[in-house]
Amino acid sequence: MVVQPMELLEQILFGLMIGGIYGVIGVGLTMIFGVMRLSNFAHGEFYMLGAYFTYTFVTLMGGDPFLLAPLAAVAVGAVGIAINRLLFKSLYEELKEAKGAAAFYFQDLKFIMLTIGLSILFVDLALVLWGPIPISIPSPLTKHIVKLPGGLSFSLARLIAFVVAIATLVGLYAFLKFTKTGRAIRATAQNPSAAMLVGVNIYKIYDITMFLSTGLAALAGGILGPIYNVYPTMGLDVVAKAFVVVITGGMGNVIGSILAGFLIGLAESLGGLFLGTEYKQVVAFVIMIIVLWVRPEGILGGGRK
Amino acid sequence: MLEVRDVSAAYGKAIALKDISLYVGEGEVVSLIGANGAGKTTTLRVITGMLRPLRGDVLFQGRSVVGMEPYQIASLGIIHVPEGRGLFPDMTVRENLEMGAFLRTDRDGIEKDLEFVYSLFPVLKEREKQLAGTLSGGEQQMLAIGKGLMGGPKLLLLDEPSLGLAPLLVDRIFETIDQINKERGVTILIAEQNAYMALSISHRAYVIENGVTVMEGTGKELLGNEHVRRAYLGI
Repeated sequence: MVVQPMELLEQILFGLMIGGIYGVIGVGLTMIFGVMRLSNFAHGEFYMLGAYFTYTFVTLMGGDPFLLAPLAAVAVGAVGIAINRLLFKSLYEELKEAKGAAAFYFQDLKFIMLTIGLSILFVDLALVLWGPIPISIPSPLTKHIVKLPGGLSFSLARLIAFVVAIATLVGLYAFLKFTKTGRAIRATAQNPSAAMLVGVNIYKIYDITMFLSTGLAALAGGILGPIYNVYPTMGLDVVAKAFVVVITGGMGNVIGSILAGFLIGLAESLGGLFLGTEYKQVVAFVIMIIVLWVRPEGILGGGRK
Repeated sequence: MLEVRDVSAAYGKAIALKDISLYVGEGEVVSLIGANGAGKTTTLRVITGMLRPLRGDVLFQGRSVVGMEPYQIASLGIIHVPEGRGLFPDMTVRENLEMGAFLRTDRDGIEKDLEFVYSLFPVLKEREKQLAGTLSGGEQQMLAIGKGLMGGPKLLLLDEPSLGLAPLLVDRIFETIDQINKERGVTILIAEQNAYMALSISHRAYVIENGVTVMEGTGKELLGNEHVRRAYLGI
């Protein structure tokens, strides 16, 4: 098979675009792990809800999905806070009291089962509310083609999705690095009891973390909605990928997840080109295995906690 | 200023404190001495709301703090430098100190306290941009105390400030604790296994054994006490 240079360039750009979205989804998942030490298997459903909320807002209010996706993200983030307070809080209360590694792992097992249950619940809820038939969110921007020099062309929708993803990641990084709340989130991730002792209300930090995590997943769903199909089980297809990104990047590490998102997006895109699209799905897992082989803690993970 | 009244506490079924009582007067340095596992750390954890007592009360400036969350207790001016130093390892020295002042909004006061901490421990200023996790044990202890001071404490709780430090550094740390009390008027409660050092800078002290206070006295009295000398000073 001969690959044309232009085709290669196209796939690289395509991979970077998808990589940015993987980064946004993965960062949300890694934040929950880093701050709350919990693995959220319902993360993909917040992505799905983001897409459906965006669809619903477009249907109800009219307007472009790219403008309404952030609104959907805020709404889903509010759902995230509600779930945190109603369901998760009692579990990490118990975690706080528990001592020793065994307690921690049993705790995590409970949480895994809880979030798997939530995932099923949300999928069924979406089936009831929006039906099983895949829909696409109408946006004129998908038909608007941008021509790049060299004969490359992309829909404006894809370009906007990419720009939104990058802007979100940069914004999140700046928030965590330079604001007082961001610093408190990092402090809680690094040493929760010390954070409490300097006066951080860690329950508020957990709320904010859940809001950001679920909101980011929802934003990704909202901006991909006009490009791909929206259907109740779309989150299940994404959650495995999100975990691959988080594990490859180093669990709990925000920058690691961003890098891993781009790495896996690119690898999938190029893997599809060189190996054929039927192998595309397996590429992410192969990358994860190779990274873990060389660095069991992931690209930027491990070391001190 | 602080009064602990008949407090009992447990981790699960393991009883750690049995009706412990103590008080700390304004401006005092008070030590809790005792062996590993005697209940010193647990006492501090109860005071700062990290552990709910089974029974008993903790009063700070006449007001009960039992049932309050740790962040609320911290906002009253009780600052706890915990066992293991309580640092944020992947943050810089400067960021750790700023986290210490998390609840404060008085920028001038924070700036002044930062200068005070840097004057106590000039090495922290040199390492301002270094990650806390990469500091030596002694530097980490200095940072832990500095971070505590940044909270503008009325009452400073120090848990094992000498742990893991070379003897020369231990002297230095205790001199600084004394200086903080004298120059700043900060009331200090220390939990310490190094009984000699703790008693020599304390106004008063309590000896804790198996979750009970078995003895109380001034630093000098306890330094001269036969039981204390044999059990804790190795004389």
